[in-house]
Amino acid sequence: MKKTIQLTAMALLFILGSCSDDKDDNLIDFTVSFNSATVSTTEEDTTKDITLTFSRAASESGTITLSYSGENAEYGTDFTTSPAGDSGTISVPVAEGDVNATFTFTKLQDPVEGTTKSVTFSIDGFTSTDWSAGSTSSALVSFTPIAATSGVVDTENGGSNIPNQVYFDFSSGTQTVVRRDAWELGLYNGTENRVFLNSSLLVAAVELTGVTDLLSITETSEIDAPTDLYTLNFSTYQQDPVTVTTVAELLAGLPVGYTQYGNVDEGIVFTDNKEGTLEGTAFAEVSTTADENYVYLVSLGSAIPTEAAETGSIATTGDHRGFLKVRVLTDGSSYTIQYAELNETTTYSEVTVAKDANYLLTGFSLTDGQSVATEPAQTQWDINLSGVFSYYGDSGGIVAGLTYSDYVLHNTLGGVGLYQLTVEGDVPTYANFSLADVDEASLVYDNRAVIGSGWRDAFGGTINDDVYYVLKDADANYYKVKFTAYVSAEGERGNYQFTYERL
Amino acid sequence: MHLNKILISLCFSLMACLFATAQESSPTEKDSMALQTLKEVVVTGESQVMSLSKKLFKVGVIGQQDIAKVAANNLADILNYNLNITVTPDASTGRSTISMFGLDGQYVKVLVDGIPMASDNGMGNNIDITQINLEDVERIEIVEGSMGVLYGDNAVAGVINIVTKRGVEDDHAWQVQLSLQEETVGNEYGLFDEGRHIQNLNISHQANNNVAFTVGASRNDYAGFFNTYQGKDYVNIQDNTVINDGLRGTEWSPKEQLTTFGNLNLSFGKHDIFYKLNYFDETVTVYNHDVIGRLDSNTGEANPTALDENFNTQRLVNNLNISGPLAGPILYNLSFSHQNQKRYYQQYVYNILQRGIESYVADDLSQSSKIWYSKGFVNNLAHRTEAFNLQLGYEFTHQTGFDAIATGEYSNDVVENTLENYDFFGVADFNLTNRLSVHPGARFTNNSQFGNKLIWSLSSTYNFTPTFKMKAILGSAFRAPNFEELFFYFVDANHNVQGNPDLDPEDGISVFVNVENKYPIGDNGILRAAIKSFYFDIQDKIANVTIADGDNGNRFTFANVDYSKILGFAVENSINLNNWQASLGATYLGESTAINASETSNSDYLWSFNLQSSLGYTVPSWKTTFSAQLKYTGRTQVVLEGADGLVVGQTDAFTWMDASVKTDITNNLGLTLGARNIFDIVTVNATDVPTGAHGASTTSSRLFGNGRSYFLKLHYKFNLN
Repeated sequence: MKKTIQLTAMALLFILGSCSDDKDDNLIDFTVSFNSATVSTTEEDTTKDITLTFSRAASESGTITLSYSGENAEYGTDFTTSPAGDSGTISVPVAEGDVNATFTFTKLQDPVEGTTKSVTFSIDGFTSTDWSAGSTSSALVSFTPIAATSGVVDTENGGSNIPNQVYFDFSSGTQTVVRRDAWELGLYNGTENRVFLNSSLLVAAVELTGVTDLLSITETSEIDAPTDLYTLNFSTYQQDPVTVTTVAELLAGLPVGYTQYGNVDEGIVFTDNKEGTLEGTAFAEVSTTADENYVYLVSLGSAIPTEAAETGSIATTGDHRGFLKVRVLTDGSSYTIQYAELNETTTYSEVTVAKDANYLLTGFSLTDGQSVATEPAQTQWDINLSGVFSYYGDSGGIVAGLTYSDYVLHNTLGGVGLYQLTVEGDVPTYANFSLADVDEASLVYDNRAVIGSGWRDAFGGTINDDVYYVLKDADANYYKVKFTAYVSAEGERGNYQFTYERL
Repeated sequence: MHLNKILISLCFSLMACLFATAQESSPTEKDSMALQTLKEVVVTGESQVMSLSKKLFKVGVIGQQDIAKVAANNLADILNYNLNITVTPDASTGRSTISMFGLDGQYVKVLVDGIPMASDNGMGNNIDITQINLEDVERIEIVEGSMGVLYGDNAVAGVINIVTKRGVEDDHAWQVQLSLQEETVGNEYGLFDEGRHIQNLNISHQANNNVAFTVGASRNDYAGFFNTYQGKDYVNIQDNTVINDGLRGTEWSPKEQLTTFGNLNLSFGKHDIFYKLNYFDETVTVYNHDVIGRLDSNTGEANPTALDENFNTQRLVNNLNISGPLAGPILYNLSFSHQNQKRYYQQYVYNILQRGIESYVADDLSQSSKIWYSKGFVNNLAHRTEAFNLQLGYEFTHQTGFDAIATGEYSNDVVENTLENYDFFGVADFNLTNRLSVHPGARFTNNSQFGNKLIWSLSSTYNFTPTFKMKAILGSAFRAPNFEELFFYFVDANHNVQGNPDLDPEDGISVFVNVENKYPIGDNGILRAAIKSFYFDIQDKIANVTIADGDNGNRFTFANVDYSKILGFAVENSINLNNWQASLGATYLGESTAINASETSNSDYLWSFNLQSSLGYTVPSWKTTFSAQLKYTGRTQVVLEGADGLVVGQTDAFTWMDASVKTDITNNLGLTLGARNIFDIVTVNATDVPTGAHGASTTSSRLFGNGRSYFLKLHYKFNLN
């Protein structure tokens, strides 16, 4: 009997000991939120898709019921929706597996000058009792443009190959996505005649001073190349002089890389400067006198790799895209681009692109031989999440052609100012920063690279969480901006996220 | 995971219930069984193997009593106290490997009943000794010295043989053992989420003289060592921003192990068959210290996640041993083994606030190894004369597998590789006089990777008196290049690291001289004293090298360029007197390592001093034993990443001490209570040896322990006749 008790006691202890603290894996609750609390329409842009995002994929189909109330706006006369909402509510269908749902808002009449018109949509109910409304349960659709107040932006740079640049406009909350390899040259539309290079694609250019005949140059041509060129010596990390006598020899040091040639002291640099000033372009100012515009050798940069990098890493620079010889002319209101393969001696291509004052730069693709849509109109972007960024310069004592990832620029040429804050001492935290704290004098207008890549730790996968930025757009709206991620939850790089708030 | 845990608890509780009921019906069985006189069926082939090595080498034994004293659950818990063995744990992988005489785990071969264990990508060496459960272990035998002739490749520093329990202790028909062990990890303990929780169950049955079997299971649930870390659900959110303070996760990763085993002992006349089945399952979860602080773009709220990893190792071992007389006194011994080890790797997104797994990034079989093995030998071949005897044997290994981790993520060689070994060996005995005997031996190896190899040994014994003996052993062995050294591949724009399939094995030669004597003290006391000296010379040591690779710049690869020399002296004394047991041993060991055979490296001997001591006292009337063990590990040579590449450095000395009390509360119920790591070791510093050229020294500290821990073990043994 005694043994039985002992054994039973041991058995009980045993069961207790072998138990583990098992928690149910809480499935994420299904919640529905408006993508944005404010949506603007403009005179041209009268139809808007309004998105409801879900916290997870829907595990069952159903319907979300939305109610609306208009300010000076009537259904049917001022606006309509699809699915229809003439009954007073809108039923948005959800299929199993959906991660979001959309409905379309169409503006029928613009407001009379001086009045405001808007419609507020609110989440009213669900067919499934397990569903609930998330934090943004209503959205105001304005009939006129209004500045967005806050948001969380998952940028569409495209992951570990960072195939895209993303332009972001804070007041409208819109992203514009452009492939990095869509263009090589950026033609400046201001009064000065300037040509920028696509730094996100590692494009570089060198002037063949004195050469005006595009077809006279081949790889074997002897040239009067810049003297005093240097290249990085890998064993000493010092600058070693190089001598260049032919085009081929010069091309060896043209692509952006550690061995790119240059001479910072003499101002011989084959890339645009990091700051993005008009005076800092690799191309000299384009003259209206044709004979003053010399031939350039252009390295077309590095192709975007297609194979994703390993988790936590990036692969952004693939094969070299080759060289072209290029000459740019201008009449002050348009640019004429002449270009040819290096060894072409009979014909060249010529394209004329008119300046368009709506845009700061007009992108030009040498591979497609035409201008391409790149950045949004100059007042409609504040920052450019360039992703990849390259320039020739000094990094910790090493002078070389440098390539950065996760780089962010702001629109200095478009009149956007920005400065960085690091939380320490009496610097307020991001949450506590208010309009009163803005230091107008700190705003930087002459260096696009204030944000750069200094917002993240490239090796730890983490954000420098004590850093944020204050931005003033061209319409004098103030925003504070803070980056929250540069990897996806799965650890893939090139998935940036930032949050912002209008001050 | 979840299901797994329920199943395990269910299994244990079912088994426990089963034996609670079995108990009720016992009295009848008792009568029927009582008349049978059972004797142990322990005439095994394995003991013949060891009898041979005992003749040639000095064999140290750790018995069940020693294991019970420190409540050891796996091999790492007990080997610490061996004088010439250092257990080196790795916090990042949770693995513990051994080094013997300063040579790492790749030079030590671990056997189970004489059969090498499958390791991650080899056979017998570089074993994670935390994976070796001691629940069904009879004793552990430690053989020091290069034992290539008897045990083949990688037995350079020595061999550790684990001997499985067979049959039922004493004369019982049934024996059921249940034990439960709770441990703190440092000062961390919780019923579920902290500490270490162990359950063991072992059932043996002796059916008759010819049949006995054992089945059992052991579960070891180690919740990890948090130290300054805050666990998997920790995140620092301030003003809706995740602050990465690096405090998430654990210092040592949690690990859960389940070992189930069974063995069957059959005897047919003079022939014995022993079959052993072992299934091992281990899960190690590595929590990322960094938190990804993305905001939920839906709600704007911080939604912190982390990329965690999970390594699941599964191993199935089937061992079969047959032994008996062949003709007259000639004995044969045959072993067959099939082992299959797999490791699964998962990487997943853990949602910290929701406390659940969001999605899997990777879920792969990353390592697989299948082994067919056989060994056989005959001895007493020349039994007609006392002066001469001969043993002959063969060993065969066929291994197929891949290791995506060792070969690197970018390897094109993550295809199956096959290695095959055919070995033949022989050892002769020349008993020249009553006192002097000489044992020359040789082994011929044919390996599919590096061809033929001949190794040899010469051992001799001289008995001054029946108790005063001297042994001298000169032996050779080699370490085969490992998977990573042969097949690693990582080439891209910035890297060019490649294994070298043409590597040769590292040759090792050792010399051992051992003198020992026994002195009686009074009527029931005995003092054993031994002095030994040893020398190891490892040539063609494999090291990292950089070579020019055509237009592609430099290639990092491996080559046979280094050497290592070890010279040592040791004394070992033990005394048993009345109820006291005490031992004291010390080793003075010098180690000289050359890196890349370069002129600048410091190849002087670095001398270190190790000390081991134990003390035990038994109170018979209380059925209680008090014991304490102490091990002082002197500075040891390590290869460190220095300012100008790899340098030879040294780790600081440290002292490890345990103390425990073991008592029998009743005949069936025992209790062990103790403390581990009394000096609270968590990290041990390593510094490079300052050389003349540049005085700057780098210091790095490596994690070594969990801090001072306490344990309590309840052990219940129940016999039926």
